[in-house]
Amino acid sequence: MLKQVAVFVENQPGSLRKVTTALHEHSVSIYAFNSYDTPEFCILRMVVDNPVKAKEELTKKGFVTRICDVIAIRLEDEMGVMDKILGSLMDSNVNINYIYSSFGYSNQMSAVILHTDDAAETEEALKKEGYDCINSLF
Amino acid sequence: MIWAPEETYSREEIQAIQLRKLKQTVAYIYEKVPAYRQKMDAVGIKPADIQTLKDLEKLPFTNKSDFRDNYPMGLFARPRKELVRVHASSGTTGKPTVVGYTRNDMHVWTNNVSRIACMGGASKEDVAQIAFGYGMFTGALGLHAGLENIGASVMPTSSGNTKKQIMYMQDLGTTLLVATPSYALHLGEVVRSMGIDPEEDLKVRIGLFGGEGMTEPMRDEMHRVWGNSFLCTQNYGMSELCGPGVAGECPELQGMHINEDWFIPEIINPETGEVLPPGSKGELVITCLGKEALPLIRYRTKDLSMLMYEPCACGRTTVRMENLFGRSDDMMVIRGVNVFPTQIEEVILQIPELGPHYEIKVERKNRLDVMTITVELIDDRLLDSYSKLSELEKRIRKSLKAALGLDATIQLVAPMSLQRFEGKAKRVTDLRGDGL
Ligand SMILES: [Zn+2]
Repeated sequence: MLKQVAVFVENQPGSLRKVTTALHEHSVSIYAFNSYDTPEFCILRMVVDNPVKAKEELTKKGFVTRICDVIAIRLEDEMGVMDKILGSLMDSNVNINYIYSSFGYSNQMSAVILHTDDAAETEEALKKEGYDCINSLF
Repeated sequence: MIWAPEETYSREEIQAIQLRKLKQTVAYIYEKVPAYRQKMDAVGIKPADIQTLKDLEKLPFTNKSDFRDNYPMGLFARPRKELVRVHASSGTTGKPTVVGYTRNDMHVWTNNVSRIACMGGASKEDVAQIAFGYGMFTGALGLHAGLENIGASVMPTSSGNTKKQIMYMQDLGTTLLVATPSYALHLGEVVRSMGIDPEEDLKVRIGLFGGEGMTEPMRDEMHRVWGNSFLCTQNYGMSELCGPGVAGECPELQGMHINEDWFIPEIINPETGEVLPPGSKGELVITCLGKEALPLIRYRTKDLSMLMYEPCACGRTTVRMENLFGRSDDMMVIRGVNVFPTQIEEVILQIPELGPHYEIKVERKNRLDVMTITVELIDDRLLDSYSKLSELEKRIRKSLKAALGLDATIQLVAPMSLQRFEGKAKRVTDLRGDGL
Protein backbone atom coordinates (compact mmCIF):
# COMPACT_ATOMS: atom_id res chain seq x y z
CA MET A 1 0.00 0.00 0.00
CA LEU A 2 1.11 3.54 -0.67
CA LYS A 3 1.71 6.07 2.12
CA GLN A 4 0.11 9.48 1.82
CA VAL A 5 1.10 12.57 3.79
CA ALA A 6 -1.73 14.93 4.77
CA VAL A 7 -0.99 18.45 6.06
CA PHE A 8 -3.33 20.97 7.63
CA VAL A 9 -2.90 24.23 5.71
CA GLU A 10 -4.61 27.52 6.34
CA ASN A 11 -6.30 29.20 3.40
CA GLN A 12 -3.89 32.08 2.91
CA PRO A 13 -1.57 33.21 0.13
CA GLY A 14 1.78 31.46 0.53
CA SER A 15 0.71 28.75 2.95
CA LEU A 16 1.18 25.87 0.50
CA ARG A 17 4.54 27.32 -0.38
CA LYS A 18 5.66 26.96 3.23
CA VAL A 19 5.05 23.23 2.92
CA THR A 20 6.91 22.83 -0.36
CA THR A 21 9.82 24.93 0.96
CA ALA A 22 10.12 22.78 4.07
CA LEU A 23 10.16 19.62 1.93
CA HIS A 24 12.56 21.05 -0.62
CA GLU A 25 15.00 22.14 2.11
CA HIS A 26 15.22 18.53 3.23
CA SER A 27 15.31 17.03 -0.29
CA VAL A 28 11.94 15.34 -0.03
CA SER A 29 10.40 14.89 -3.50
CA ILE A 30 6.69 15.22 -4.19
CA TYR A 31 5.17 12.79 -6.68
CA ALA A 32 1.51 13.66 -6.38
CA PHE A 33 -0.59 16.20 -4.54
CA ASN A 34 -4.04 17.66 -4.29
CA SER A 35 -6.14 20.08 -2.33
CA TYR A 36 -9.71 21.30 -2.74
CA ASP A 37 -11.33 24.70 -2.48
CA THR A 38 -12.51 25.01 1.10
CA PRO A 39 -13.22 28.30 2.85
CA GLU A 40 -10.94 28.45 5.93
CA PHE A 41 -8.33 25.74 5.63
CA CYS A 42 -7.51 22.73 3.55
CA ILE A 43 -5.95 19.33 3.88
CA LEU A 44 -3.05 19.15 1.48
CA ARG A 45 -2.53 15.53 0.48
CA MET A 46 0.69 14.35 -1.09
CA VAL A 47 2.67 11.32 -2.05
CA VAL A 48 6.38 11.86 -1.39
CA ASP A 49 9.49 9.72 -1.54
CA ASN A 50 10.13 9.87 2.21
CA PRO A 51 6.87 10.25 4.18
CA VAL A 52 8.48 9.75 7.61
CA LYS A 53 11.01 12.49 7.03
CA ALA A 54 8.31 14.73 5.55
CA LYS A 55 6.19 14.35 8.67
CA GLU A 56 9.16 14.93 10.94
CA GLU A 57 10.27 18.12 9.20
CA LEU A 58 6.76 19.51 8.76
CA THR A 59 5.92 18.85 12.40
CA LYS A 60 9.07 20.72 13.42
CA LYS A 61 7.82 23.67 11.40
CA GLY A 62 4.53 23.56 13.30
CA PHE A 63 2.34 21.78 10.74
CA VAL A 64 -0.14 19.16 11.84
CA THR A 65 0.82 16.23 9.61
CA ARG A 66 -0.58 12.75 9.23
CA ILE A 67 0.52 9.68 7.31
CA CYS A 68 -2.12 7.26 6.08
CA ASP A 69 -2.59 4.42 3.59
CA VAL A 70 -3.94 5.03 0.12
CA ILE A 71 -4.47 2.74 -2.85
CA ALA A 72 -2.47 3.37 -6.00
CA ILE A 73 -3.00 1.65 -9.34
CA ARG A 74 -0.70 2.05 -12.32
CA LEU A 75 -2.33 3.98 -15.15
CA GLU A 76 -1.57 2.51 -18.58
CA ASP A 77 -1.74 4.93 -21.47
CA GLU A 78 -4.78 3.47 -23.17
CA MET A 79 -8.31 4.51 -23.97
CA GLY A 80 -10.93 3.86 -21.27
CA VAL A 81 -8.53 2.79 -18.52
CA MET A 82 -10.07 5.02 -15.81
CA ASP A 83 -13.55 3.91 -16.77
CA LYS A 84 -12.50 0.28 -16.35
CA ILE A 85 -10.92 0.84 -12.93
CA LEU A 86 -13.92 2.76 -11.64
CA GLY A 87 -16.24 0.15 -13.08
CA SER A 88 -14.42 -2.57 -11.18
CA LEU A 89 -14.68 -0.60 -7.94
CA MET A 90 -18.38 -0.03 -8.54
CA ASP A 91 -18.90 -3.74 -9.13
CA SER A 92 -17.15 -4.44 -5.84
CA ASN A 93 -19.34 -1.87 -4.14
CA VAL A 94 -16.37 0.26 -3.00
CA ASN A 95 -17.06 3.90 -2.21
CA ILE A 96 -14.23 6.31 -3.04
CA ASN A 97 -13.67 9.15 -0.58
CA TYR A 98 -11.33 11.04 -2.86
CA ILE A 99 -9.20 10.41 -5.89
CA TYR A 100 -6.25 12.09 -7.59
CA SER A 101 -3.38 11.16 -9.82
CA SER A 102 0.39 11.38 -9.86
CA PHE A 103 2.51 13.06 -12.51
CA GLY A 104 4.00 10.79 -15.11
CA TYR A 105 7.68 11.57 -15.56
CA SER A 106 10.04 9.26 -17.34
CA ASN A 107 11.58 7.72 -14.21
CA GLN A 108 8.34 7.05 -12.43
CA MET A 109 5.02 5.58 -13.28
CA SER A 110 1.82 7.53 -13.41
CA ALA A 111 -0.89 6.25 -11.17
CA VAL A 112 -4.36 6.88 -9.89
CA ILE A 113 -4.43 7.35 -6.10
CA LEU A 114 -7.59 6.75 -4.20
CA HIS A 115 -8.76 6.69 -0.62
CA THR A 116 -11.51 4.44 0.67
CA ASP A 117 -12.71 3.60 4.17
CA ASP A 118 -10.96 0.24 4.16
CA ALA A 119 -7.79 0.21 2.10
CA ALA A 120 -7.07 -3.51 2.65
CA GLU A 121 -10.53 -4.53 1.51
CA THR A 122 -10.28 -2.30 -1.56
CA GLU A 123 -6.93 -3.77 -2.44
CA GLU A 124 -8.39 -7.26 -2.18
CA ALA A 125 -11.34 -6.35 -4.40
CA LEU A 126 -9.05 -4.82 -7.03
CA LYS A 127 -6.80 -7.85 -6.99
CA LYS A 128 -9.78 -10.05 -7.87
CA GLU A 129 -10.45 -7.78 -10.83
CA GLY A 130 -6.89 -8.24 -11.99
CA TYR A 131 -5.32 -4.99 -10.80
CA ASP A 132 -2.06 -4.83 -8.87
CA CYS A 133 -1.87 -2.11 -6.29
CA ILE A 134 1.53 -0.52 -6.13
CA ASN A 135 3.33 0.71 -3.05
CA SER A 136 5.78 3.06 -4.69
CA LEU A 137 5.55 5.58 -7.49
CA PHE A 138 9.18 5.30 -8.54
CA MET B 1 5.76 26.31 55.94
CA ILE B 2 3.55 29.08 57.39
CA TRP B 3 5.45 32.38 57.31
CA ALA B 4 3.52 34.49 59.85
CA PRO B 5 1.61 33.60 63.05
CA GLU B 6 -1.24 35.90 61.94
CA GLU B 7 -2.14 33.34 59.27
CA THR B 8 -3.38 30.93 61.96
CA TYR B 9 -5.11 33.30 64.39
CA SER B 10 -8.64 32.60 65.55
CA ARG B 11 -11.46 34.53 63.89
CA GLU B 12 -11.83 36.69 67.04
CA GLU B 13 -8.14 37.56 67.04
CA ILE B 14 -8.19 38.42 63.33
CA GLN B 15 -11.29 40.57 63.74
CA ALA B 16 -9.80 42.40 66.70
CA ILE B 17 -6.72 43.29 64.62
CA GLN B 18 -8.91 44.32 61.69
CA LEU B 19 -11.10 46.60 63.78
CA ARG B 20 -8.15 48.28 65.48
CA LYS B 21 -6.40 48.89 62.14
CA LEU B 22 -9.60 49.92 60.39
CA LYS B 23 -10.27 52.69 62.92
CA GLN B 24 -6.70 53.94 62.53
CA THR B 25 -6.86 53.75 58.74
CA VAL B 26 -10.13 55.66 58.50
CA ALA B 27 -8.88 58.41 60.84
CA TYR B 28 -5.63 58.57 58.87
CA ILE B 29 -7.20 58.79 55.41
CA TYR B 30 -9.74 61.37 56.62
CA GLU B 31 -6.93 63.55 57.83
CA LYS B 32 -4.45 63.04 54.98
CA VAL B 33 -6.38 62.46 51.75
CA PRO B 34 -8.75 65.30 50.83
CA ALA B 35 -10.29 63.37 47.93
CA TYR B 36 -11.52 60.64 50.28
CA ARG B 37 -12.43 63.08 53.07
CA GLN B 38 -14.77 64.81 50.62
CA LYS B 39 -16.42 61.47 49.81
CA MET B 40 -16.96 60.76 53.51
CA ASP B 41 -18.28 64.26 54.14
CA ALA B 42 -20.67 63.90 51.21
CA VAL B 43 -22.39 60.95 52.93
CA GLY B 44 -21.99 62.45 56.43
CA ILE B 45 -19.61 59.84 57.86
CA LYS B 46 -16.92 60.75 60.37
CA PRO B 47 -14.05 58.47 61.53
CA ALA B 48 -15.73 58.21 64.93
CA ASP B 49 -18.72 56.52 63.28
CA ILE B 50 -16.60 53.40 62.70
CA GLN B 51 -17.09 51.33 65.85
CA THR B 52 -17.51 47.80 64.49
CA LEU B 53 -16.32 45.92 61.42
CA LYS B 54 -19.88 46.05 60.13
CA ASP B 55 -19.58 49.87 60.04
CA LEU B 56 -17.18 49.43 57.10
CA GLU B 57 -20.32 49.20 54.92
CA LYS B 58 -21.09 52.85 55.65
CA LEU B 59 -17.89 54.03 53.98
CA PRO B 60 -17.85 55.15 50.34
CA PHE B 61 -16.18 53.01 47.68
CA THR B 62 -12.94 53.92 45.95
CA ASN B 63 -12.91 53.31 42.21
CA LYS B 64 -10.29 53.07 39.50
CA SER B 65 -11.64 56.42 38.27
CA ASP B 66 -10.52 58.04 41.55
CA PHE B 67 -6.94 57.29 40.52
CA ARG B 68 -7.58 58.85 37.14
CA ASP B 69 -9.23 61.94 38.64
CA ASN B 70 -6.38 62.40 41.11
CA TYR B 71 -3.54 61.51 38.75
CA PRO B 72 -0.71 61.10 39.46
CA MET B 73 -0.42 61.21 43.27
CA GLY B 74 -3.57 62.91 44.53
CA LEU B 75 -4.63 59.91 46.62
CA PHE B 76 -1.27 59.71 48.40
CA ALA B 77 -1.18 60.40 52.14
CA ARG B 78 2.54 61.08 52.35
CA PRO B 79 4.75 63.62 50.58
CA ARG B 80 6.98 62.45 47.78
CA LYS B 81 10.13 62.63 49.89
CA GLU B 82 8.84 59.89 52.20
CA LEU B 83 8.33 57.44 49.35
CA VAL B 84 11.05 54.87 48.72
CA ARG B 85 9.38 53.23 45.72
CA VAL B 86 6.92 54.17 43.00
CA HIS B 87 5.21 51.69 40.66
CA ALA B 88 2.56 52.06 38.01
CA SER B 89 0.17 49.79 36.22
CA SER B 90 -0.50 50.40 32.58
CA GLY B 91 -4.09 51.25 31.96
CA THR B 92 -5.61 50.00 28.72
CA THR B 93 -6.54 53.59 27.97
CA GLY B 94 -4.98 56.88 29.00
CA LYS B 95 -2.70 57.44 31.96
CA PRO B 96 -1.29 54.68 34.16
CA THR B 97 -2.30 54.16 37.79
CA VAL B 98 0.57 55.38 39.98
CA VAL B 99 1.17 53.80 43.39
CA GLY B 100 3.83 54.43 46.05
CA TYR B 101 5.40 52.91 49.15
CA THR B 102 7.06 54.24 52.29
CA ARG B 103 9.88 52.22 53.80
CA ASN B 104 7.41 50.63 56.18
CA ASP B 105 4.99 49.85 53.32
CA MET B 106 7.85 48.05 51.56
CA HIS B 107 8.48 45.97 54.65
CA VAL B 108 4.81 44.98 54.97
CA TRP B 109 4.51 44.27 51.24
CA THR B 110 7.62 42.10 51.18
CA ASN B 111 6.44 40.01 54.11
CA ASN B 112 2.99 39.62 52.63
CA VAL B 113 4.56 38.27 49.44
CA SER B 114 6.78 35.96 51.52
CA ARG B 115 3.63 34.51 53.07
CA ILE B 116 2.16 33.85 49.63
CA ALA B 117 5.40 32.30 48.35
CA CYS B 118 5.52 29.94 51.35
CA MET B 119 1.85 29.08 50.79
CA GLY B 120 2.75 28.05 47.25
CA GLY B 121 5.50 25.75 48.51
CA ALA B 122 8.57 28.00 48.24
CA SER B 123 11.45 27.79 50.72
CA LYS B 124 15.02 29.01 51.09
CA GLU B 125 16.15 25.97 49.10
CA ASP B 126 14.54 27.29 45.93
CA VAL B 127 16.13 28.78 42.84
CA ALA B 128 13.44 31.22 41.72
CA GLN B 129 13.29 32.41 38.13
CA ILE B 130 11.17 35.53 37.80
CA ALA B 131 9.81 35.63 34.27
CA PHE B 132 7.47 38.55 34.91
CA GLY B 133 8.37 41.73 33.06
CA TYR B 134 10.31 44.04 35.39
CA GLY B 135 9.85 47.79 35.09
CA MET B 136 6.97 49.75 36.56
CA PHE B 137 4.81 46.63 36.98
CA THR B 138 4.55 45.55 40.66
CA GLY B 139 4.53 41.80 39.96
CA ALA B 140 8.20 41.19 39.25
CA LEU B 141 9.75 43.29 42.02
CA GLY B 142 7.07 42.18 44.49
CA LEU B 143 7.78 38.47 44.03
CA HIS B 144 11.48 39.26 43.80
CA ALA B 145 11.56 40.86 47.26
CA GLY B 146 9.23 38.31 48.86
CA LEU B 147 11.26 35.34 47.62
CA GLU B 148 14.60 36.92 48.51
CA ASN B 149 13.18 37.58 51.97
CA ILE B 150 12.56 33.87 52.59
CA GLY B 151 16.09 33.10 51.44
CA ALA B 152 15.45 31.70 47.97
CA SER B 153 18.04 32.39 45.24
CA VAL B 154 16.32 34.87 42.96
CA MET B 155 17.05 35.08 39.23
CA PRO B 156 15.51 38.22 37.70
CA THR B 157 15.31 36.93 34.12
CA SER B 158 12.32 39.18 33.37
CA SER B 159 9.93 38.15 30.59
CA GLY B 160 10.68 37.29 26.98
CA ASN B 161 13.66 35.72 25.25
CA THR B 162 12.23 32.27 25.79
CA LYS B 163 15.32 30.37 24.60
CA LYS B 164 17.50 32.18 27.14
CA GLN B 165 14.96 31.53 29.89
CA ILE B 166 15.26 27.83 29.12
CA MET B 167 19.03 28.01 29.09
CA TYR B 168 19.08 29.54 32.59
CA MET B 169 16.49 27.04 33.70
CA GLN B 170 18.78 24.19 32.61
CA ASP B 171 22.15 25.65 33.59
CA LEU B 172 21.26 27.25 36.92
CA GLY B 173 18.80 24.59 38.04
CA THR B 174 15.63 26.66 38.42
CA THR B 175 13.22 25.01 40.86
CA LEU B 176 10.55 27.71 41.00
CA LEU B 177 9.03 29.67 38.15
CA VAL B 178 7.21 32.99 38.51
CA ALA B 179 5.21 33.93 35.40
CA THR B 180 1.76 34.57 34.05
CA PRO B 181 0.00 31.24 33.45
CA SER B 182 -0.12 31.88 29.72
CA TYR B 183 3.62 32.53 29.53
CA ALA B 184 4.35 29.48 31.71
CA LEU B 185 2.38 27.35 29.25
CA HIS B 186 4.21 28.85 26.31
CA LEU B 187 7.59 28.27 28.00
CA GLY B 188 6.58 24.66 28.65
CA GLU B 189 5.56 24.15 25.04
CA VAL B 190 8.90 25.46 23.82
CA VAL B 191 10.75 23.29 26.37
CA ARG B 192 8.92 20.23 25.03
CA SER B 193 9.47 21.20 21.39
CA MET B 194 13.21 21.31 22.12
CA GLY B 195 13.01 17.66 23.14
CA ILE B 196 13.44 18.48 26.85
CA ASP B 197 11.27 16.53 29.27
CA PRO B 198 10.69 18.90 32.23
CA GLU B 199 10.19 16.02 34.66
CA GLU B 200 13.40 14.25 33.65
CA ASP B 201 15.71 17.00 32.50
CA LEU B 202 14.73 20.06 34.58
CA LYS B 203 14.35 20.77 38.29
CA VAL B 204 11.34 23.10 38.03
CA ARG B 205 8.82 21.86 40.60
CA ILE B 206 6.92 24.97 41.73
CA GLY B 207 5.00 27.55 39.74
CA LEU B 208 3.83 30.78 41.36
CA PHE B 209 1.48 32.29 38.85
CA GLY B 210 -0.20 35.65 38.78
CA GLY B 211 -0.95 38.68 36.65
CA GLU B 212 -4.01 36.92 35.25
CA GLY B 213 -6.34 34.20 36.47
CA MET B 214 -5.78 30.49 35.94
CA THR B 215 -8.79 28.27 35.34
CA GLU B 216 -8.81 24.62 36.47
CA PRO B 217 -8.51 23.22 32.92
CA MET B 218 -5.52 25.55 32.47
CA ARG B 219 -3.96 24.06 35.59
CA ASP B 220 -4.51 20.57 34.12
CA GLU B 221 -2.81 21.77 30.95
CA MET B 222 0.06 23.07 33.08
CA HIS B 223 0.47 19.58 34.55
CA ARG B 224 0.47 18.03 31.09
CA VAL B 225 3.26 20.36 30.04
CA TRP B 226 5.36 20.59 33.24
CA GLY B 227 4.60 17.18 34.72
CA ASN B 228 2.16 15.80 37.25
CA SER B 229 4.24 16.57 40.33
CA PHE B 230 4.48 20.26 39.40
CA LEU B 231 2.90 22.29 42.22
CA CYS B 232 1.31 25.23 40.49
CA THR B 233 -0.56 27.82 42.47
CA GLN B 234 -1.86 31.23 41.63
CA ASN B 235 -1.78 34.35 43.70
CA TYR B 236 -3.71 37.55 43.64
CA GLY B 237 -3.02 41.20 43.92
CA MET B 238 -3.18 44.45 42.02
CA SER B 239 -0.93 47.45 42.11
CA GLU B 240 -3.55 49.71 43.74
CA LEU B 241 -3.69 47.34 46.73
CA CYS B 242 0.13 46.91 46.92
CA GLY B 243 0.85 44.51 44.04
CA PRO B 244 1.13 40.77 44.64
CA GLY B 245 0.78 39.69 48.25
CA VAL B 246 -2.96 40.13 48.79
CA ALA B 247 -3.91 36.47 48.52
CA GLY B 248 -2.51 33.14 47.34
CA GLU B 249 -3.30 29.47 47.02
CA CYS B 250 -1.92 26.85 49.38
CA PRO B 251 -1.32 23.24 48.22
CA GLU B 252 -4.94 22.37 49.12
CA LEU B 253 -5.95 24.39 46.03
CA GLN B 254 -9.25 25.39 47.60
CA GLY B 255 -9.15 29.11 46.92
CA MET B 256 -6.65 31.83 47.80
CA HIS B 257 -5.90 32.77 51.42
CA ILE B 258 -6.22 36.50 51.95
CA ASN B 259 -3.71 38.22 54.25
CA GLU B 260 -6.59 39.36 56.41
CA ASP B 261 -4.62 41.30 58.98
CA TRP B 262 -3.70 43.69 56.15
CA PHE B 263 -6.72 43.46 53.85
CA ILE B 264 -10.44 43.29 54.63
CA PRO B 265 -12.38 41.67 51.77
CA GLU B 266 -16.06 42.18 51.03
CA ILE B 267 -18.25 40.78 48.26
CA ILE B 268 -20.80 43.16 46.83
CA ASN B 269 -23.49 43.14 44.21
CA PRO B 270 -21.69 45.07 41.45
CA GLU B 271 -24.90 46.75 40.33
CA THR B 272 -26.30 47.93 43.67
CA GLY B 273 -23.17 48.06 45.84
CA GLU B 274 -24.96 46.01 48.50
CA VAL B 275 -22.72 43.78 50.66
CA LEU B 276 -23.49 40.08 50.12
CA PRO B 277 -23.25 37.34 52.78
CA PRO B 278 -20.35 34.81 52.80
CA GLY B 279 -20.75 32.21 50.07
CA SER B 280 -22.25 34.66 47.57
CA LYS B 281 -20.64 35.41 44.25
CA GLY B 282 -20.03 39.04 43.47
CA GLU B 283 -17.45 41.77 43.05
CA LEU B 284 -14.48 41.72 45.39
CA VAL B 285 -13.96 44.93 47.36
CA ILE B 286 -10.76 45.35 49.40
CA THR B 287 -9.88 47.73 52.20
CA CYS B 288 -6.14 48.05 52.81
CA LEU B 289 -5.15 48.29 56.47
CA GLY B 290 -2.19 50.25 57.73
CA LYS B 291 -0.86 51.43 54.40
CA GLU B 292 1.07 54.66 54.85
CA ALA B 293 1.73 56.06 51.38
CA LEU B 294 -1.51 55.07 49.69
CA PRO B 295 -4.31 54.13 52.09
CA LEU B 296 -7.28 52.69 50.26
CA ILE B 297 -10.78 52.07 51.56
CA ARG B 298 -13.30 49.80 49.89
CA TYR B 299 -11.51 49.57 46.58
CA ARG B 300 -13.67 48.04 43.87
CA THR B 301 -11.44 45.46 42.18
CA LYS B 302 -13.95 44.57 39.42
CA ASP B 303 -12.87 40.95 39.99
CA LEU B 304 -15.66 38.47 40.60
CA SER B 305 -15.16 36.00 43.43
CA MET B 306 -16.65 34.49 46.58
CA LEU B 307 -15.39 34.30 50.20
CA MET B 308 -15.00 31.11 52.25
CA TYR B 309 -14.40 31.47 56.00
CA GLU B 310 -14.02 27.77 56.89
CA PRO B 311 -10.51 26.98 58.21
CA CYS B 312 -8.32 25.24 55.65
CA ALA B 313 -6.67 21.82 55.89
CA CYS B 314 -3.28 23.52 55.46
CA GLY B 315 -3.59 24.96 58.97
CA ARG B 316 -4.32 28.54 57.99
CA THR B 317 -7.45 30.20 59.31
CA THR B 318 -7.49 33.21 57.00
CA VAL B 319 -10.48 33.63 54.70
CA ARG B 320 -10.10 32.23 51.20
CA MET B 321 -11.33 33.86 48.01
CA GLU B 322 -12.61 31.55 45.31
CA ASN B 323 -10.42 31.60 42.21
CA LEU B 324 -11.66 34.39 40.01
CA PHE B 325 -14.77 33.85 37.96
CA GLY B 326 -13.58 36.63 35.72
CA ARG B 327 -13.46 40.36 35.80
CA SER B 328 -16.63 42.33 35.57
CA ASP B 329 -14.60 44.40 33.06
CA ASP B 330 -13.94 41.35 30.87
CA MET B 331 -17.58 40.46 30.62
CA MET B 332 -18.91 40.74 27.10
CA VAL B 333 -22.56 41.08 26.29
CA ILE B 334 -23.20 39.13 23.12
CA ARG B 335 -26.75 39.04 21.81
CA GLY B 336 -27.87 39.96 25.30
CA VAL B 337 -26.00 37.07 26.94
CA ASN B 338 -23.25 37.72 29.51
CA VAL B 339 -20.08 35.94 28.45
CA PHE B 340 -16.75 35.68 30.25
CA PRO B 341 -13.65 34.65 28.30
CA THR B 342 -12.90 32.15 31.09
CA GLN B 343 -16.09 30.24 30.23
CA ILE B 344 -14.87 29.86 26.67
CA GLU B 345 -11.43 28.84 27.90
CA GLU B 346 -12.90 26.08 30.05
CA VAL B 347 -14.68 24.60 27.04
CA ILE B 348 -11.65 24.76 24.77
CA LEU B 349 -9.29 23.23 27.30
CA GLN B 350 -11.58 20.24 27.65
CA ILE B 351 -11.28 19.35 23.97
CA PRO B 352 -8.09 17.27 23.62
CA GLU B 353 -7.74 17.83 19.87
CA LEU B 354 -7.14 21.53 20.48
CA GLY B 355 -4.19 23.44 21.93
CA PRO B 356 -4.67 25.66 25.01
CA HIS B 357 -4.42 28.98 23.19
CA TYR B 358 -7.38 30.78 21.67
CA GLU B 359 -8.63 34.11 20.40
CA ILE B 360 -12.11 35.54 20.56
CA LYS B 361 -13.37 38.07 18.06
CA VAL B 362 -16.74 39.75 18.36
CA GLU B 363 -18.16 41.79 15.51
CA ARG B 364 -21.51 42.95 14.26
CA LYS B 365 -22.84 41.68 10.96
CA ASN B 366 -26.29 42.77 9.76
CA ARG B 367 -27.01 44.18 13.23
CA LEU B 368 -26.26 40.83 14.80
CA ASP B 369 -23.36 40.03 17.13
CA VAL B 370 -21.10 37.36 15.70
CA MET B 371 -18.47 35.66 17.82
CA THR B 372 -15.57 33.89 16.15
CA ILE B 373 -13.28 31.71 18.21
CA THR B 374 -9.94 30.78 16.72
CA VAL B 375 -8.30 27.66 18.09
CA GLU B 376 -5.21 25.67 17.27
CA LEU B 377 -5.60 22.16 15.93
CA ILE B 378 -3.03 19.78 17.42
CA ASP B 379 -4.34 16.27 16.71
CA ASP B 380 -3.21 14.87 13.35
CA ARG B 381 -5.89 12.13 13.33
CA LEU B 382 -8.38 14.75 12.20
CA LEU B 383 -6.60 15.02 8.88
CA ASP B 384 -8.04 11.69 7.73
CA SER B 385 -11.01 13.48 6.27
CA TYR B 386 -12.83 16.77 6.07
CA SER B 387 -15.74 15.18 7.84
CA LYS B 388 -13.62 14.58 10.94
CA LEU B 389 -12.64 18.24 10.94
CA SER B 390 -16.20 19.39 10.55
CA GLU B 391 -17.32 16.97 13.28
CA LEU B 392 -14.75 18.58 15.58
CA GLU B 393 -16.05 22.00 14.65
CA LYS B 394 -19.58 20.88 15.42
CA ARG B 395 -18.46 19.41 18.74
CA ILE B 396 -16.78 22.69 19.79
CA ARG B 397 -19.86 24.67 18.81
CA LYS B 398 -22.13 22.32 20.69
CA SER B 399 -20.02 22.52 23.88
CA LEU B 400 -19.90 26.30 23.66
CA LYS B 401 -23.62 26.44 23.10
CA ALA B 402 -24.15 24.29 26.19
CA ALA B 403 -21.82 26.46 28.30
CA LEU B 404 -22.81 29.91 27.02
CA GLY B 405 -26.15 29.48 25.34
CA LEU B 406 -24.62 31.10 22.27
CA ASP B 407 -23.57 30.00 18.85
CA ALA B 408 -20.05 30.77 17.70
CA THR B 409 -18.09 30.44 14.50
CA ILE B 410 -15.03 28.26 14.90
CA GLN B 411 -11.85 28.89 13.03
CA LEU B 412 -9.21 26.19 13.10
CA VAL B 413 -5.61 27.21 12.63
CA ALA B 414 -2.25 25.47 12.72
CA PRO B 415 -0.44 24.92 16.03
CA MET B 416 1.74 27.80 17.29
CA SER B 417 0.06 30.21 14.88
CA LEU B 418 -1.82 32.26 17.49
CA GLN B 419 0.06 34.99 19.29
CA ARG B 420 1.84 34.02 22.53
CA PHE B 421 2.02 36.50 25.38
CA GLU B 422 4.87 37.14 27.77
CA GLY B 423 2.62 39.01 30.17
CA LYS B 424 -1.10 39.09 30.49
CA ALA B 425 -2.73 37.41 27.50
CA LYS B 426 -4.98 39.55 25.30
CA ARG B 427 -7.44 37.13 23.80
CA VAL B 428 -10.51 39.22 23.05
CA THR B 429 -10.99 41.61 20.14
CA ASP B 430 -14.28 43.46 20.17
CA LEU B 431 -14.86 45.13 16.80
CA ARG B 432 -18.36 46.32 17.56
CA GLY B 433 -17.14 49.82 18.37
CA ASP B 434 -19.80 50.66 20.90
CA GLY B 435 -18.32 48.15 23.31
CA LEU B 436 -21.77 46.80 24.09
ZN1 LIG C 1 -4.92 26.49 52.94
